[in-house]
Amino acid sequence: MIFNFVLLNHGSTRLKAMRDLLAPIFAALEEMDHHVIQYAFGFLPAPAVNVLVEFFPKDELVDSILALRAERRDGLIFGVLCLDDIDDLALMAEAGTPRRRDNLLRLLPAADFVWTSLAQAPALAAHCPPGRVAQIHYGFCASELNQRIVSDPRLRGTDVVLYGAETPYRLAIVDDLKRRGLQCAFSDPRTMPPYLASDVVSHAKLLLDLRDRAGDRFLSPAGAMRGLHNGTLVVSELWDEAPPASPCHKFTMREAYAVLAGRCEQVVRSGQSARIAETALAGFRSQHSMRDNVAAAMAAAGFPRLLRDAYRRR
Amino acid sequence: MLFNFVLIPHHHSSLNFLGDLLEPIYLGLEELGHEVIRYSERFHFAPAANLFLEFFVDEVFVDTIFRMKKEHGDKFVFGVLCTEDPDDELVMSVYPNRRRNMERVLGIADFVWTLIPLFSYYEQICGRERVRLLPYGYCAAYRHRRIIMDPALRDIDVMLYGNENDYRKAVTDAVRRHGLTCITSDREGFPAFVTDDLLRRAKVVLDIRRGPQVKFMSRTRAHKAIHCGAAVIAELFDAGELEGMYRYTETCAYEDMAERCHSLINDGDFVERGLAHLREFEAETSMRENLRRAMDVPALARLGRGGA
Repeated sequence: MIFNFVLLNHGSTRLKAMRDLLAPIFAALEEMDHHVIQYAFGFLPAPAVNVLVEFFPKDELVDSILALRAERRDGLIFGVLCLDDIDDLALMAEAGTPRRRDNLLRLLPAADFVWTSLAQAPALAAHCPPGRVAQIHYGFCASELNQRIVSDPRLRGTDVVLYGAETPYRLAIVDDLKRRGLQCAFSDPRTMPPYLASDVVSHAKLLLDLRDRAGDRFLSPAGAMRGLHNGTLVVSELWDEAPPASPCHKFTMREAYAVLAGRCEQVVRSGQSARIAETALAGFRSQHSMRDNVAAAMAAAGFPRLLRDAYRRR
Repeated sequence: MLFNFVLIPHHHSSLNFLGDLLEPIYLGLEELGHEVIRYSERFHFAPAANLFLEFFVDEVFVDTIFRMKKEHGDKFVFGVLCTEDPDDELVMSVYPNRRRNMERVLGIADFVWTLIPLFSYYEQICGRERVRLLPYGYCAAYRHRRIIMDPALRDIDVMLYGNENDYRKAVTDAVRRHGLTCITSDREGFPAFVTDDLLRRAKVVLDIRRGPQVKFMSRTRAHKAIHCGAAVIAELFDAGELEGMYRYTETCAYEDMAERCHSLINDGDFVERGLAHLREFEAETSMRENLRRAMDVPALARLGRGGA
């Protein structure tokens, strides 16, 4: 089968930020022997599966997709992958993109399937015909694994690397860590390419995995995936209303924001971070396969029916 | 040995497209059994070797290198990777102090690796024994994991690898007049995963220099495309590479490039040609061995023996 990712609605910075979440999906599909077009310049007819990644600030774009859908009702398969919280109005209806959420809600009923990387499948399902929505749980992905995990503790010169953008919420923790005498670094996937980001993470004793800001409902799997696949201990933020841990977060240490800096200091000074990380990676690798998880998301979002219908119409 | 790449003078946005240049070196060194810190913001002392990628436009950084060398002598070992033609005004004139600072730093460098065969120039600055040419060779870990073998799935006719300018656009316009789709890799805009995907989907990859004043072909662009299994049509102008990277491409005069794209695609054997070049490249060249030879300089030999 051909999976055709149509990402033309994303600029350079968004594409760079999305890579961590897309690459494991590409790899899982390819492991299942599908052909993946990672950056398409247009839609393909059925039985190819077109995948759009949510970010529809412009009405015209959604209008054109809906027109295409109506025009080629029997000949076009498309799904939407949602990587952001659709109920986060600060994000979904911010000043520059006030129509983003409304446009998503216009598109969802027409989509053949909807995937999300976050625990928001019920919220999405409310806008779709039944049986079309599934969460993709992020699991171990061989192509994301650092083939040369740093085993010499002397080469892990950075104490704590914070994965993601330098937001005020994250900087406050970094300031606290620095006051405790810890060496800190940021690795922001929007600015640092993956061939270097992995290296920065793999030379750190631990990766700190925080939300962007206090009000966020979800923690992206991106940081935990990067840390686990580089053999680096991940310490993730835990908060009162946090959803149940996703597979990758089951292999991270989880602590409340208020005590995170102290916990990081304790782990760094214990000298045990590499050993804990090794155990975490082994467990993650043996228990959660990205390939199986994507296959499960395909089944849960109605792919068998979708493809049966597409081939029948040919 | 530990190789510590100090890349702080380079802006993150430029690091996005320096992967073609740096990754084969990282991987080759690792294949030789060395440890590599790919992105470092601090210096390491012997027995580690620090490596800078030439771009010395920050005076404070240059002063720091001089101070470190003066204070620590052989305890602070560093090499410089030179990738640009110092006489290429298009590149060098953007920062008036770039060439001057490069020559100052090369004067105290422990070793210099150059991608361009300008021995006499570098030897005059830092002495013959410190300079080594670094040709790019095959690297298994760099090879695309999913080269597309089915010609029907090569859905892009022609990809120009590099940013479009007037000199290149004359060719891409001609390609389009043949009725072929032609896309350009936008190195500032596309992240690496997109570029890699476009390269492997292309029937033909075009490698054209920036303009007629450029004297040396880009080894790294062709090297990348070959590792993606693409048939590369390279502009023939650099006589020094006739026995080098050109051997693994479909060389062509500038005037004939569009026509060559058309005929290669019409012939239909573009996948076979790309794979044949890749096989030859694998059989005849090795990034690891090229790096082993480049490491044959007194400072690295001393570190290898355990001395500072």
